[in-house]
Amino acid sequence: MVVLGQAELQLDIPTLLNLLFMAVFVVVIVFQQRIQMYIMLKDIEFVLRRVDLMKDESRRISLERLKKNSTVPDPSAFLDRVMDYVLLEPVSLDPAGIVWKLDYILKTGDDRLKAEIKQVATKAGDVERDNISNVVEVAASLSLLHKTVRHYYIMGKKTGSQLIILQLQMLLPEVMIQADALMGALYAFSYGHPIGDGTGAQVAASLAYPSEFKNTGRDMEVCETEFEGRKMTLLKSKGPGATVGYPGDAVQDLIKKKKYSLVVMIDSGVKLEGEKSGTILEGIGAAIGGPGTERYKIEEVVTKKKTPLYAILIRMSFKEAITPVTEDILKGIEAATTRVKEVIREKVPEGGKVLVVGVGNTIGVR
Amino acid sequence: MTMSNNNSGERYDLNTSFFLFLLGFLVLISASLIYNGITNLQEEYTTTGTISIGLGLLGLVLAGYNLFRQQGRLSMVGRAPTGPQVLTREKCKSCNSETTRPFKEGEYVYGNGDPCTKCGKGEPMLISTIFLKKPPKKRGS
Repeated sequence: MVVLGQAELQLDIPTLLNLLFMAVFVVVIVFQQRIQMYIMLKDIEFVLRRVDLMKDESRRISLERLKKNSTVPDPSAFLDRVMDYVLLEPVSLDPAGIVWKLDYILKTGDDRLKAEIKQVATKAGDVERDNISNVVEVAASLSLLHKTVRHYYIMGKKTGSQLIILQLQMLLPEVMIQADALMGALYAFSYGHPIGDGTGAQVAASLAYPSEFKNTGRDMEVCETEFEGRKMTLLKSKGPGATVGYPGDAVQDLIKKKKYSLVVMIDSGVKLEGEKSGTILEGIGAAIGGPGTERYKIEEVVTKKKTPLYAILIRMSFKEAITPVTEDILKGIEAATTRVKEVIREKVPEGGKVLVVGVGNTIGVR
Repeated sequence: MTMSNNNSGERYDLNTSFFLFLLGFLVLISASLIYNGITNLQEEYTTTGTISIGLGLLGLVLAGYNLFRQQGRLSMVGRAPTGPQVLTREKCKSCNSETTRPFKEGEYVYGNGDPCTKCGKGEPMLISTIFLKKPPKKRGS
């Protein structure tokens, strides 16, 4: 009991508790946004730290691969330079001819990376060099992801903008999915595991077996074989190193030389959530992703030659596409191979010619 | 619970002291609610007392859950990513027997695998598939 002058104020525990709750109420009303922002920033920091750890691990693996295949004692300066390469897309104010400009820029970028890796990884063979190029590209992607998240985090913190922080916090699950997938891709490219994106190449290889593929064009291989009285040309990127090749150029060359009754393209397709991995999807058109240059070339040549173009896609998630093939996707490869055979039987007459294009990264596939 | 970043150029750390302060505050309020509830029950204000005790216990549970979650996240951050377990399936060209074993670097689909031990011919088997081993399902998932 506290006596204040004449008045008598009773401060027992329930009164103190009521005062405490009122104080909490006022604090929450005044600082609610700041507390919420603090919690959101902590969430971002956790993800940022995790991505940072992955980025460091990816750099370590890339460096390890380079050192293993190099006579240069410390290629870290080279790696840091290569990981920061940027590709500047051509200006699109006048879009006429932009596809060929982009194609040229992409090929130049590819040539430059391969040539520089060849200079450093002197002990590596073609397959190992292709794999190292992809490992470095994945490490660069992880580094870019980390830089982007860090940029918005610092910007949000600096400006105190709840809008920036809230948007970033909402994107965190997606950032983590992407980072995990890239980490999986890093291991796959490092050890040479076949990946989900290579399902098209695996279908082509299984249709070709036991016939051999021979090199054609840039980073591509072709196999001429027969299927139930039909002449079948199989095309895929050059394995077993990590490369997607340039199927557009190869298809243009082949179609200009021969008249095909049908072109079938097999590729992996990103599934929607709720769809089962490894199921197949059929359609019409060029089944090929990427920046669009290869797709353009294929569409152009089949339109000129009026050749029907069929597409078979094997559904998978983004993570499955860049990480080692799962058992579900193996079933998809078998199903797609069977379906290609059925389509050929249905659409190509005996004695006719069919071109089967297995699209995707052929790492770990002959 | 502090985990600082090694790169001095980066402006983030995992200092969780303010978060722990908030949790401590929640525990304090919860404890006072429980005390208040017990006092109310002793004075035969049954409804108010029960609600106070219930809210206090809920606060304690929430504080415990958040502490547990925070601990899990901190341990996840410190854990280095691990590589996948990949298997190679081989098929003997002579006796058609199949074997599955861990993947070895340099192997590829439709390439040559290990010699067949079953038919005794010693010919290399054909690598039919290389695939990711399904991770064991977590309990409760």
